[in-house]
Amino acid sequence: MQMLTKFESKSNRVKGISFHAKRPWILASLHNGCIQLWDYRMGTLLERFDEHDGPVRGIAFHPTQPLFVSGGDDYKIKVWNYKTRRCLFTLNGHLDYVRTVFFHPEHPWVISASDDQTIRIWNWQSRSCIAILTGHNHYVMCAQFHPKNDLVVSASMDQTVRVWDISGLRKKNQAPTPMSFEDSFNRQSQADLFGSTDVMVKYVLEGHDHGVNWASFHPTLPLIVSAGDDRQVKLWRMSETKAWEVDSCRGHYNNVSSAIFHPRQELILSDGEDKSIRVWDVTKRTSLATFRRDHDRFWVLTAHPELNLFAAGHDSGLIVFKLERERPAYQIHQNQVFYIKDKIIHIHDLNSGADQEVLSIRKLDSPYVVPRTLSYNPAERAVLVTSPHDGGVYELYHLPKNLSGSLKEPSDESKRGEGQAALFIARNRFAVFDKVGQQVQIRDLSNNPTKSFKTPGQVNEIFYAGTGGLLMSTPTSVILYDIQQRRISAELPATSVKYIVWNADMSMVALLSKHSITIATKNLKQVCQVHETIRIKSGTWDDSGVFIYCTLNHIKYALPQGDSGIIRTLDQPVYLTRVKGKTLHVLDREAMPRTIKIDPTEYRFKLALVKRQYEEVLHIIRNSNLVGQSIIAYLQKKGYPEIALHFVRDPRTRFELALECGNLDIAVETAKTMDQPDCWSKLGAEALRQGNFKIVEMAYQRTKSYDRLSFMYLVTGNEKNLQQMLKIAELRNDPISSFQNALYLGDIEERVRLLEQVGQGPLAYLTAKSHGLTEKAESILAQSGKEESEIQLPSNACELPAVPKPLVQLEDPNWPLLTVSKSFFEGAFAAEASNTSATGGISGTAAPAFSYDENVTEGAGDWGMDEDDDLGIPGLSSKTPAEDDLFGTPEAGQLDLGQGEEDEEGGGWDVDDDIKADLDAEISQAAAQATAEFVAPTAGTNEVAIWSQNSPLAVDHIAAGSFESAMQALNRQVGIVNFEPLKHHFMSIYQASRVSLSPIASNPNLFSPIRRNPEESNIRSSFPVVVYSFENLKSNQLQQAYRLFTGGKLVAAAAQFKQLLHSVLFTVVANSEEASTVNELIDVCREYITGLQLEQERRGASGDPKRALELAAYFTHCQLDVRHSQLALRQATKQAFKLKNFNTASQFARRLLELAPPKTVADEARQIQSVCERNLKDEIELNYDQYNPFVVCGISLEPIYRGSPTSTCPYCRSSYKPEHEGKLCTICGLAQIGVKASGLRIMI
Amino acid sequence: MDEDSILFGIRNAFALGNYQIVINEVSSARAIQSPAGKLESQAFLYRSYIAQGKYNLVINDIAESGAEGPLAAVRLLATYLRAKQKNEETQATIEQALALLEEGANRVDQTIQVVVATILVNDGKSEEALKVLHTRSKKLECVALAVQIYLQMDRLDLARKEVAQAKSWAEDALLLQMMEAWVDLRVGGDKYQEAFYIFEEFGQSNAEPSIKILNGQAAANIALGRYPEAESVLMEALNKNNDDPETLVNMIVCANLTSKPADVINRYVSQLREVAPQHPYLQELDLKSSLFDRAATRFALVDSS
Repeated sequence: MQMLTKFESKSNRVKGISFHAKRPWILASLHNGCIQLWDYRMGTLLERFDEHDGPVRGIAFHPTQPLFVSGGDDYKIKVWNYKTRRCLFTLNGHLDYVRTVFFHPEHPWVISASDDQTIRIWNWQSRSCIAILTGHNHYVMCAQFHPKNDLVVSASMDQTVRVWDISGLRKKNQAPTPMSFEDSFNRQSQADLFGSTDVMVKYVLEGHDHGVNWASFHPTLPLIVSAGDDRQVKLWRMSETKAWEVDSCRGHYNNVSSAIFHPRQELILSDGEDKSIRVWDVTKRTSLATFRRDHDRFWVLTAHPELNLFAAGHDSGLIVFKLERERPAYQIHQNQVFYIKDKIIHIHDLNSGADQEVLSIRKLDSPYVVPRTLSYNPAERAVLVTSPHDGGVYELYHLPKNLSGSLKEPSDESKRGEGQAALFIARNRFAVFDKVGQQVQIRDLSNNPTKSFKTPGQVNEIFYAGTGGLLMSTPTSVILYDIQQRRISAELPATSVKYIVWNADMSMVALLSKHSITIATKNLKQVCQVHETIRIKSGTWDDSGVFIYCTLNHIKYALPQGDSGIIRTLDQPVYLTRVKGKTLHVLDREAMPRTIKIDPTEYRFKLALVKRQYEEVLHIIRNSNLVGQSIIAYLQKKGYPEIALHFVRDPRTRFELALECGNLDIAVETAKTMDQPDCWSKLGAEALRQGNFKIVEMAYQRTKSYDRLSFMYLVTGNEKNLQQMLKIAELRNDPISSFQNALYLGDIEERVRLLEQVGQGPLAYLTAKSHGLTEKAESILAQSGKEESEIQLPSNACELPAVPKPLVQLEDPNWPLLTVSKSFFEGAFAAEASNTSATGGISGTAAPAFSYDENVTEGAGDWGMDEDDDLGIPGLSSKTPAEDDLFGTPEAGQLDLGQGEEDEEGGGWDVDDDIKADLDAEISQAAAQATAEFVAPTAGTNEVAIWSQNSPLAVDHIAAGSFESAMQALNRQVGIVNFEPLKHHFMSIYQASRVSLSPIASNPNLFSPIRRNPEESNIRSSFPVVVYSFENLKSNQLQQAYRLFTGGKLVAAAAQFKQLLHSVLFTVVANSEEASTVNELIDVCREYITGLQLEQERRGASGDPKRALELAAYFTHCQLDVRHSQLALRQATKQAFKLKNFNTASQFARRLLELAPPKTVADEARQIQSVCERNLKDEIELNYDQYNPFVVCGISLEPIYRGSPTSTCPYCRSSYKPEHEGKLCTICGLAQIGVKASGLRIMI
Repeated sequence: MDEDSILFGIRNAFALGNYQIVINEVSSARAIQSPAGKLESQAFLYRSYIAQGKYNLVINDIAESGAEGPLAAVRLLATYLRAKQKNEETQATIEQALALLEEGANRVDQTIQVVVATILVNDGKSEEALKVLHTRSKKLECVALAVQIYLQMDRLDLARKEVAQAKSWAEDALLLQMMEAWVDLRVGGDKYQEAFYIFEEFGQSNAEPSIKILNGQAAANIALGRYPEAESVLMEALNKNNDDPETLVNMIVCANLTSKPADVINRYVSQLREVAPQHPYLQELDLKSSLFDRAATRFALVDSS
């Protein structure tokens, strides 16, 4: 047994602890007066409650309400609401330290034990004390309610444990009438004054020699455990009338602070001031385990109400721990989970959900140790189970072959040994790991070691790594170790890997550490790594290549490129076994197989993005409600703004996304709805970048960027608009702008006018003058009252600046824009938007984008092919020289070196050479001698030859290649003389008689015969495989023939029936029942072939109505399937009717009606019948007597009435007129008519 | 990677029929420095080329005279197979091979033994081949070839003995397991399943499964009566190389057993005829076909009319 510490806190001395029933919370009351609320799963301090004055000893969560209660050395009991984080009220009454407080599981009661020698029960709803239990005559250290019965147990320094009956209190409390004020006042005062009469002492348990610190009830049995300063843990038993001491558990060597029953197992846990926690066996009262701490005395101990967790408070904090691993030992093989629950190996079928107990492994180890791992070997149906018991043991079991029936105990032959880990590494080998000696042993299935080797470093765990390999986890890395060569094949840094999960085809592996997952290829090439703050528990691979894993509280996914995310939260840790679509198969902590529904959309979506399967992405977008900021942020971050665009409705975000992916249409649309200057300016910038001047224009208009607008009109040569701009500028009273526009327009008069207007006379004059507007210039001069001579103009002539006109004037339509390569999505989404009639439009628009993609991939494929082809010859020829070059130099160097040495050593080498030659000669001679003595073995008997010896069946002789004997047999048995139609059957059977095995390179291949009795391992009783299985003939071939017949494909049907008739010759059956069915099958074939021959003949005999009608009549006498007989009769009826053979017709109609045909056919038949019955006469005399039984001659196609001489076909048993004897049967086409034969053998 | 492990990998790849991997490995491995290692890897390289049918390459690459024993033997094998393919005279080559065997310690060199024995086996001289392989203690390839010859001679008992003996020193070597699988497929019963597991394990090992392994899996599946599984494995093999004769043979078998239409089967047969006109399977089929015709006439009715 081991203590698995789940959480540890550092704080002041902890005097009281309490688990929350549902949440991963624990309350600790400290000696310094503080109450702490911890999340033990996350390891964080959630809250502090600091209102008590002095140490707080008692603390308890309410089982259902958001409440807890505390009791301290300030005599106060406080009830708190942890949601509002406030103390609701204080219960005053105790006159000394309060030691413990507990809630009642059902009633609104609190029980408190105090140093004032009383126990009090309070109603926390009415906030009043409802009972005072007096009797103890020293400090009461502990008082608790019974979880189900109306009992209280208390422990006191007066060395007694008392059991109290509180049923009176319950009755009173359930009184239907509300108490009057006086009543309650009376009772309260009464209680205060004289002690309650509602509660009575039931038993006083005396036995401890010192004060008793703790007493608690067993959850289900009438047992009490108590712990005292006499260093003993005592077990007491109660009956209806008395209680007595059962035994003591001795072992603690200082005061025992607390003792409790294990909620589910026959165990007692105790802790004390000797700094230890001890575990005791309830039945044997022996110590099972002791967990010591170095410096801290333990003060309190508690069990989780629902989970397999315990907590203990000590001098410097608290620990949360469990006594056993809850991870069930399990392994998945194909669709089956092999797991151990309660020491029984179960098989759970994931498809059917069926669960089966297979084998009990109770003998493996102590009852308190849970098996750790299970390794399954499908080849041998064996399992290896390891257990941490006794430092690690493993045991090998063979699963029973027959799973039905009662649970099997393993037979005594089970093999065991010592080792921390044991797992199958191959069909007939398993590896056992000895952690202490750092040794790995390879053993065979009889548990004999075949080899062993040292680990290459400090190894903690070993795992399966396919055949011939092992994965070893060291503190810093994972090693792929090759067992055969005993060397490291690969190593990947990953700290303390605890579990590994292979994907289905063993190409990827996930290495799970406590807080990280490393995904790697099978050769340990890291693909990605995911880190978690919460402990990682288990994982499984989705078929699409996503790794699904779970932490303590989440199911998550990891994509191959390293993204991870949450799929859902978990209440309790589970162990994932398999994920299939939306169903996650898990084992829970009770090792119960369960399924959890998950929504795989998010990770599929992301995976599709990663893999660029845009169609899938689109599909998911369309068909799921995948929304939310996180997805948008993800898409934006990963560079898919155009997809993100699809999710967003908020115009602002849409606008930003549209700009990011350059989708101007959406940008304009959103900008319009928002109509904010900054949007327009951003849009303008983007539109300018893309060159979409229409949008630029609009953006500038909206932002009133007149200057830019004018300039834009200038460069686009839009004079009309420039003029507009000029007018606008005038309206705006902005002369600079007007001037600029005038300048752009080359409107000199306007410029002069403007300059004049703003009082720039000289400039106006200058402009006018220099542009040759003399009149204007003079008028300006005149206005200003100056003479021309007064003005000095620059003398040097220069060219007048003129704004160049654009060559092309763009008017309304936008100029052709660069084709921006549209992504798959834009196309798809655009189509969606423009086309309300969804699908057609989408495929239309999406198609081009997609087909382009396809082209690319095809190209790649071709390329790949080319390369492959190249490898054939040119690739090599180009490669080899290069390699040669590379090798050339060192080789030459070596050679030189060698020669150098040779030179130096001179003759010495020669001598060696001689010796070597001598040696060679010697060896060769010895070998030659040995060889000479060797006599080659003679060839053995061929299994194929045995077949023909073993079997009297023709088909087996054919398989053996002995065609002649086969033909003889067939001739003898069924008189077959025409073998030609059977040739392909012969060849087919012979072809299928053996498989070919690729041999050692360049050798002729090996053949291996195929048996029809694969379970047989004695060659002497081997038989060849059956090519024409009876089952196939009956259920496929025959049905097909029927279908052809029904479909009116007469020729094909006839061929099929003939084929069937031929194939039957070569079938093999197991019993006489089947043999008779085969005979029936032959009859069926014969009848149908005869019938079809008649019908074909009839269709050919249209010129001779009498003969045609006769043939139709004969046809109705073939033994066909009812439906088919109906066809024949209907045909005959109509024909007879047409020929006015009313009598015959009515007889056919009657026979047809007897067969209960479908309604339309029946109606028709009745009509014919009624017409015929008016005139029961035949126009034509027929060679047909329906009352006289007959068979049809296969050659003449005439009836042979009973009693007339016939000759039959020995195989298909068709009848012929005697004159045809000795001819080839036309029905089967194989046998000679009238030959004597022994009958077909199809059974051995 | 050190020399030993590279050679180990090469041997395994060769045994599994991953010839292209052998070629790639030998061409790219630089760590093989020792003369013995070099020689061995070269021999595997050329044997791989031969296995791929590239006889001329080998004949041109290895000098006719002066090559070391094993390579000379490999060259002879290529010469022999080329001659046989073209239906040319082979006797001289066989004599050369036998002469080579007599030189120095060639009689106990594994590669030479195996290659010479291969020539003999191809020539139908199983007994002589066994003689060449006589000294084969701890030479796994020799043992494998001997086992194969025993199986071809229908001496299952000797083959089993040989495998059992090899087990004592070869541990779990790939080639040994392959021999076991061959024998298992002949023994039948539970052994079929074991053979299947062996091939399945090969298929799961590091490299892509070779055609050889896929054929093994298919054969085991067929033996076990699991035809659809066999068919899908064979399809996989055909995808790798659509001209592999062994795959085609097994495909024919499988098609027959799953009652495929005759034209499908005939197509496979024609394909086989195309790629390996001298394949023993075809030769036997032709033989049986003519046998059928001859035998059938003896029963035929003489039309009296």
